[in-house]
Amino acid sequence: MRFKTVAVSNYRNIKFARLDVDADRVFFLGRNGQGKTNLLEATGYVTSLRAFRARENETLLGPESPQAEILFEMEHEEYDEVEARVRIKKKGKEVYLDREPVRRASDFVGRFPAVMLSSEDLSIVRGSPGGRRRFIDTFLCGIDRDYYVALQRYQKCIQERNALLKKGAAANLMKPFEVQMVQPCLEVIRKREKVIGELGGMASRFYEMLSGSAEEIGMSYKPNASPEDEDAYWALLERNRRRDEIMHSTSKGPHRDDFELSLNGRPAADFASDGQQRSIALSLAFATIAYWRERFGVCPVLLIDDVLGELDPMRRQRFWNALDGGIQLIATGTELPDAASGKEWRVYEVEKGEFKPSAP
Amino acid sequence: MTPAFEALQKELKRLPGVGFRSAERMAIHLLLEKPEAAKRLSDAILSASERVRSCSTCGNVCEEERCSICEDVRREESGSLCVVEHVSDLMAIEKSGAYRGRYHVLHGKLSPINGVGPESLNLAGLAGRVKAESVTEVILALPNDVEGEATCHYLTELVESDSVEVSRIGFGLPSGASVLYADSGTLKSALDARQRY
Ligand SMILES: [Zn+2]
Repeated sequence: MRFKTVAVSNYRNIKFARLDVDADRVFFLGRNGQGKTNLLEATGYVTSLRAFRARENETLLGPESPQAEILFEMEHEEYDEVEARVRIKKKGKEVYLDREPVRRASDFVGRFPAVMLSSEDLSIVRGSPGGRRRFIDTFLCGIDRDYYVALQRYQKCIQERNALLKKGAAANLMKPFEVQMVQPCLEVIRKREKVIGELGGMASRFYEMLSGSAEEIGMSYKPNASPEDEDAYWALLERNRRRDEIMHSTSKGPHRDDFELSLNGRPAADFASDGQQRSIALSLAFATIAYWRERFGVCPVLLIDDVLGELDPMRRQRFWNALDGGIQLIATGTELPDAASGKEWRVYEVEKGEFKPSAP
Repeated sequence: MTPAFEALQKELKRLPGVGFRSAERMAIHLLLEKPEAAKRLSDAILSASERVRSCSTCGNVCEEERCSICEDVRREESGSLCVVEHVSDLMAIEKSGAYRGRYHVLHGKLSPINGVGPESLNLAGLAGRVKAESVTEVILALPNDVEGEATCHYLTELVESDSVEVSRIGFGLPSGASVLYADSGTLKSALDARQRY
């Protein structure tokens, strides 16, 4: 797919912007804090109806504004020319596809894939488990609506259960939420396990291209707990009940999962150099793009936030060589990309939340 | 803006579904554009708040001790009691004409993160009603989100017995909808709630 126009109003520090992005390579150029990442974030919102840097809707709304709005005009392999509009409010959001309201978020999620690569993603190897979970959840929510629903249910139940644990509530109040955790929990674990294995294998294909050396990337799931069936999950809950009551939170389950990246069988966080770790992160981004194309026949848009400048010239050159020409790329940075990118860029200069096309 | 204007706007904004801008519009309308409407509205609010109360049996709106549905003896014949979250849900079901039994309005659903436990719901009289009114079926017409499901589970534990059956309304396709365009969650609910043809 491809973005043709992105327009936002009252989104973080951007009052209004409507950009023609109908080009293979688009660049938002500006100093930090001017709003270029905000627009990139708004662009990526279309995939999972989530902002990659925010948990709460409220942080996305402009000052004194009750709602933010994002409009996307896109070209899509399956839906042809299509317009999507998202209205984000303090509580909840409204989604319209070609002006028809979309009743459930889960009907929309994953139809319009964009793959985000931020500095946080670039340090995924050594970063926090939370960052790695966010990566795998963003990807899975995009490709699998049932996963999206299961994950939301599971997370909601955990929040409610933790609130009960804090109050020292009785078992008969806990149970109504616990019975709802079982199925989503098993589904989340099963699907993470499967996709982590698949992505690891695909990432290896890109690593040689991106690093110049043929090494094997491995991705292994490190579940916090791995109950095989309902009975095992109930046993797990019971085994940890006392501890949960003391700690005031649910100690075991997929909300504490992690996965590990390895290079030639050795943990990359300990044994890979900084450069190798970055190449692994880039390989993962390429793997998610390949997954979309091969499984669903849709080519995602690549969104890169302030990352190109962090690569050394050699790795940057390899990055451009590995990047398929058919992919639309929208990037941000404080400096223009070098000539090695091999294509014309459409550049917007960003200052104080305003976007101006740069004179060629 | 003046202090009195702001005080009114603040109160209006507390109402459900009213944001800052609509509260401002309402305040301007009531104070400057249609001052006579302000008097009528405040009279209506005062008189209603003096008379209208919650039915002591089911929680529906009424002006006596009990609401007209609870007073209607024919409603007891079916032996069924329908539990809803809000009075507006009760009104929607009444309007459909599809149900002629009695109701019980919870005025909320269990949500520990929002501080809503059983003690904040209209639950005190429920178990007693089921016995006293010889209820044979409790129909749970609560939403199918996490909190609604949890509330259903809690209520089932509370009222189910050898003589009382608990059922749940189905969540399926809206009438006139096609299977082709339904999402998998709706399809799953529709299949789970299938009936013998
Ligand atoms: Zn009543």
